[in-house]
Amino acid sequence: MDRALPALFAEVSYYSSSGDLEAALRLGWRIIGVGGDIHDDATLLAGHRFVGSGLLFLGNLDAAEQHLATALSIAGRVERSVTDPEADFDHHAATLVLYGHLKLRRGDFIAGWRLHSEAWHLADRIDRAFTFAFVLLHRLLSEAMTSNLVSLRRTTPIFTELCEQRDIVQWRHVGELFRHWGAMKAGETVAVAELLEIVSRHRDGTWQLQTPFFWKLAAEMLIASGEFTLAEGLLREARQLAESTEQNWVKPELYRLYAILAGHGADPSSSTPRDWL
Amino acid sequence: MSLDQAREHGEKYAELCAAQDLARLYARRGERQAARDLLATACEGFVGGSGNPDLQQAMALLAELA
Repeated sequence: MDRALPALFAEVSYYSSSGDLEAALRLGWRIIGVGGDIHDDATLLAGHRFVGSGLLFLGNLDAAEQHLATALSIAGRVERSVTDPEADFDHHAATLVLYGHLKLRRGDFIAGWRLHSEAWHLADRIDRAFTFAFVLLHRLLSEAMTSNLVSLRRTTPIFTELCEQRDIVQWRHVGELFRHWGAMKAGETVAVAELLEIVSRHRDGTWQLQTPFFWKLAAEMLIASGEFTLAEGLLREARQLAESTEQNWVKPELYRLYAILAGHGADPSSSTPRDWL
Repeated sequence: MSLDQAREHGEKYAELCAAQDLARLYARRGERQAARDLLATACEGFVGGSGNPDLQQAMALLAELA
């Protein structure tokens, strides 16, 4: 592996996590270029995985699928499972889970859950904490998105415990958010003060990718508790973040919640539910 | 807005959810045909998912509107 690559990998991860997906994409393309130049499959795998991930959350599913499929085809040729040892990260497992998430968003439940299952088994087998947490986080996103509550309530404690035990600080509070959301969906009363504390603690961190979706979950809980003003504030924040980071994938869900708020007369723009839907 | 955004980006699952909300709105206004057309399109193209609650609800609503 080229000596400059670990630094490039760290940089693309930084931009991706902070929501600068265009910068992450540019670096991902550079990594693909380097991988081609040095004929290194592990580098190519990582590059296509980075680019596929960026495109996935920008909402360009066709292009994302091309890159993730390419990454998977390359993964079969990469002998070592740990493709980025310095970052304790396995791009093969990451590709599987991202591709699974993409398939579900496109309505393919069979391929989606099969890929999620493969990702879980691989991540479990190679026993890399951050890789496993990455796989579980994206599984939780898929489970919440598809209302797969039974599975979500199984995944959540595993994810939360892993993040706590292995000090994965950027997602430490996310598991709690999913736990509260799963409980709310199961009919339990939302502990609003606790929820706001979780939101506040995550907001203090630097992880921006998927955060509009986390705020969507929190806003849904606030709406269920009748806290429309708080929900509207959080949705506004989610929408601004989705706009500034071009996370188009989450916008339909944010608009649906605005429609609910509008139905309660709690949308300051005075739009109707029909306008938002 | 939600539906357009989902369709524009090929987000099939998000399309299903938005279409279901909109179809309920249409149905409440008595616009059953519009609701049915919307849902029928949104329910097409899924692979598997017979146990998925959102898809099940959409199919049940579609049956109610028939």
